[in-house]
Amino acid sequence: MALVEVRNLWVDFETPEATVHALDEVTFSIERGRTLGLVGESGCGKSVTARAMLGLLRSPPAVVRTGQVVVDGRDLMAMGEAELRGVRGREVALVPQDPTTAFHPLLTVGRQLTEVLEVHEGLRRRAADDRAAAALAEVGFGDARDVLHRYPHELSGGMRQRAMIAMALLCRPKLLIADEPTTALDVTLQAQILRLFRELQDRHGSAVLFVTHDLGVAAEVCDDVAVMYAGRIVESAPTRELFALALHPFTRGLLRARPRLDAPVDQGLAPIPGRHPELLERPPGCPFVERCEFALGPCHDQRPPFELWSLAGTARALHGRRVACFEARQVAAAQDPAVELRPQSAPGGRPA
Amino acid sequence: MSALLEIRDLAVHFPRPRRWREPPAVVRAVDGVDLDLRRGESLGLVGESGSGKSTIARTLVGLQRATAGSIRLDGSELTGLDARGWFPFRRRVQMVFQDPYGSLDPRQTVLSILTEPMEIHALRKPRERRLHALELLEAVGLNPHYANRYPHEFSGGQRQRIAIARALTVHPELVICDEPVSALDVSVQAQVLNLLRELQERYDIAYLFISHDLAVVRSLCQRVSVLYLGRVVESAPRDEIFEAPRHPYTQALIAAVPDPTRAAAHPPVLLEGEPPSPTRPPPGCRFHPRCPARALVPDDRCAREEPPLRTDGAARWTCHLEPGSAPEA
Amino acid sequence: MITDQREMRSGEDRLDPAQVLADARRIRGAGHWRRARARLRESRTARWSQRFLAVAVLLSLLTPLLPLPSPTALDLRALPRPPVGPWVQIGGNGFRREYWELSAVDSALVDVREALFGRWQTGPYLGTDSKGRDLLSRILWGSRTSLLVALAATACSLLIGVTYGAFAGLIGGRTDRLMMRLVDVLYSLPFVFLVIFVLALLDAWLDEAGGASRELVFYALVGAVTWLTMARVVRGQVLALKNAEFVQAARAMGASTSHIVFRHLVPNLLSVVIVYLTLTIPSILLVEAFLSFLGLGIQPPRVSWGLLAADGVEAINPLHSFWWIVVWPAVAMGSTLLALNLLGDGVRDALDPRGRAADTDRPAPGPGA
Repeated sequence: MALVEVRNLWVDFETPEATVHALDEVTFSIERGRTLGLVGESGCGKSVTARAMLGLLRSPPAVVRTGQVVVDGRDLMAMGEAELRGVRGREVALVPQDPTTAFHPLLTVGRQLTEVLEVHEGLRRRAADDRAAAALAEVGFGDARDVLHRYPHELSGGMRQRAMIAMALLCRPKLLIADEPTTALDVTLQAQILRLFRELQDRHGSAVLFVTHDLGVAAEVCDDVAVMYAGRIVESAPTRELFALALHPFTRGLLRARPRLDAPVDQGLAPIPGRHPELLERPPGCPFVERCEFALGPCHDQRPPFELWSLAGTARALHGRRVACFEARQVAAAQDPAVELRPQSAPGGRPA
Repeated sequence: MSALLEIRDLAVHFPRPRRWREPPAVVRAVDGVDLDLRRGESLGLVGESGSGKSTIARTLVGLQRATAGSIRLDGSELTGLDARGWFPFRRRVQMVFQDPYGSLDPRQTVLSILTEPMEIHALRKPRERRLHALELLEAVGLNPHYANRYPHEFSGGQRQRIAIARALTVHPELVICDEPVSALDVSVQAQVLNLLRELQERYDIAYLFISHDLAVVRSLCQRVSVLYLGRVVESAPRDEIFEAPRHPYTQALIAAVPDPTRAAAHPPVLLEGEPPSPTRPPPGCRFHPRCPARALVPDDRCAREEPPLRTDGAARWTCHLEPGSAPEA
Repeated sequence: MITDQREMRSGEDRLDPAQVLADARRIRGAGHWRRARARLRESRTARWSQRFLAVAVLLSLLTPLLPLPSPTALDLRALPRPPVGPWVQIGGNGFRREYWELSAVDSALVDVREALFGRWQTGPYLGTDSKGRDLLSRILWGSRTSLLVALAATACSLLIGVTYGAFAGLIGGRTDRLMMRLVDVLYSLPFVFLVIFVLALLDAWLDEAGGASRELVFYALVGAVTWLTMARVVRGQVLALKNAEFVQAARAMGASTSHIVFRHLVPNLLSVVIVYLTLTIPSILLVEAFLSFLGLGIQPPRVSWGLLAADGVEAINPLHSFWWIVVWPAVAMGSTLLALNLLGDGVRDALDPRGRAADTDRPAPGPGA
């Protein structure tokens, strides 16, 4: 069993005006030491997934219909608030998008780091200081002792995000959730932080869920990528394979819509027409159908199963390449006519 | 081709907000910038936060006064003009802002948003203003039947189309786009970029396109200028700058762009640290504290002397490093 | 949100613009005010408060026309009379035209009343106070004072507060700091002492001028405190709006200051001003009652709810329970304040921009320069 397993998670948000179907049968798992990138557009449910995994879905308005979030054998969805508090920060830690608001402005960085250790591990002040300084040194602060005494506003944006990562790693969490950790940063800082993530991943070996809207960023740090659309996971695959061959039309569209540094310029970009739906109702068929160039009859009224596929003649599907699309073969053929896809039934997976 | 916009040695300084027990200081947001833009051309302005790119945009539309230097639009000098003198040029230079949620008045209907610039510049009769607004809505790919709706009833990408239509209502010659797609999702981003390109051909507009995203700039702009701490460090035609960047900073910027297809080979140049504050820019070359090529220049000239301006064909850049002596990035 | 199937269509099949313009007129967007009205209509408490207040204001305005006993006509019996149901005694001929100095409009209305009903007047449905004055009449006449105070406060808030705050916010810099410092100073004065001080200062002069101008001073003072907070609120809004991107966009287009004020600032300020007004009025009514209770506000023979409360205190008597003298004014005042507060809450909820679902899904902007 994988270290982190999210099984069949359905989450709605109920407000007086409307019900938003935020998550729809979300299922994935992360092995120890691997990084899963959760990629999608705004409003697709990727941040809701991240919050669910921290046990931060407040009810109301969130209503968890079914589903489990199992971290190291324990289901977060079944825990009470007190139990969750013991898990948060200790076994599951978060690197937020905006490090500016995530720090308390009136406490020194050191105080905020040591507090985590005092609460979760009952360390004394001196010992906690040592651990905090070591954690800061690990994320690249040459003057870690000095940084302990500084206030968040005295650090620059990039430094704050490093400190945030140090804080998240303090208790050696089993699962680290990074919610768009580089979106607020400039490219050169983003590159630094991404490199830091890779280094830390090699050293710590915790499971990482990396939420991002940027496929390029996901490619830099993730071992596997799951693409979300309208509250569902529509495709998941090892990173390299996903970028080599997209099986879902949305993934393909995302890859083609992105301006790239090595594509010919003159032909313009290939946008996906229309826009992301608002999730006010659950469509009977594929949620992408209205923007999809491959859509046929069944796409409108039948839900495409999230199936395991293999490439004929290769063993490339060994990691579990899944896609929820009736027309996956056509999508693949549009990119590489030589590819031959075969549905594959696997233990634990649903028969095709 | 005639130059539409000529910026020479532009400087924009403003007093830093006073802080307790610190001497007053000046933020040198823009400090000696030269830019040239021809009619119907798009120039990309690239840089990190604090490089001064937004300040340049605000100066060009008269929201910020230039401290020194010259801005010439179609041969007429703009700096030093008072509000009345600047007014006729405001029609010719329009701006599209970054945030499609903040740049449209939530209390105005789309129609009223689109007719406002024409009212201000007293173009056309009221009924013709409305008809022209509808034409532009159609031109940016929105259904003109929704002209009486309010901004909140549209998505981010649709709002950005409205903002673009608003800029075009008064037939500008230059549109300044300040990060117009960075708040949009990738799939919608491509829609808006294609639209900008299409409109440029149709209406013969010049763009000054400001962005931190090099890939976006590459897809739209014929020429690119790279800013660092209020100075242009490199200016070159698109293909040259992306295929053979000459300034170490440009090389590092390009290397830092995350790209799914390059993921296997990790970028060789990575900048350390962060840009220093524009309040006290470093002496000599402003980039020297972070420059990976600094060791290649003898006598530590980078830290002491201003780098010379070098030219090669249409490319110009400022660096102490002799061309050809740097390892290819 | 609009799902526009034609969003990406090519411009080939061109439409007749004049026709589109006519068609577009029929597709009205849900504007801010329209949505606010719809939300207000949905709230049941707000709806009932609205109705209650409408009836109360109408009654209050028409009071001189109603066949009520005069609120100041004394009936010097030994004890206050308890309430008498209309089914017991509908009324009788006993009306005496005994008022303070009425305004021209009011006295004309009372003329009409006399022409309509003659000397007939209603019975003491709510009882009488210790001087034999009819309570129902006193409560209704007192409500007119409250209405006047509310109007005065609203006018001051709007005229002085909004202008002052908007001006300070627009000009900014040193002028702004100076103007706001003045507001701070006025704020820090304890209100009750201010009233006592001013009245004492003007006492000699006021005695000559008579009670009417004493009331004028009272209204002026109430007005003087109500505009302060409004000025602050408006200034804060203006400062925020001034830097809003859409205002910057208008400035970049070359819009004049007056264009920006009327086209962008006023429409965006309006809902804050309205919300704030609806929430101020109840507290102003309380201020009036409090001051009149202390004898610093409305002076007898005029009536106000604060004076009724003062009369009610006399009713606290260990031997006889004259409950009606306390209960009825309290009910009137309590229900009015409750309705005002509920309506204010409803209006705030209806106008509150945070209630808009459309703005919650906005993506985070990327790094800017």
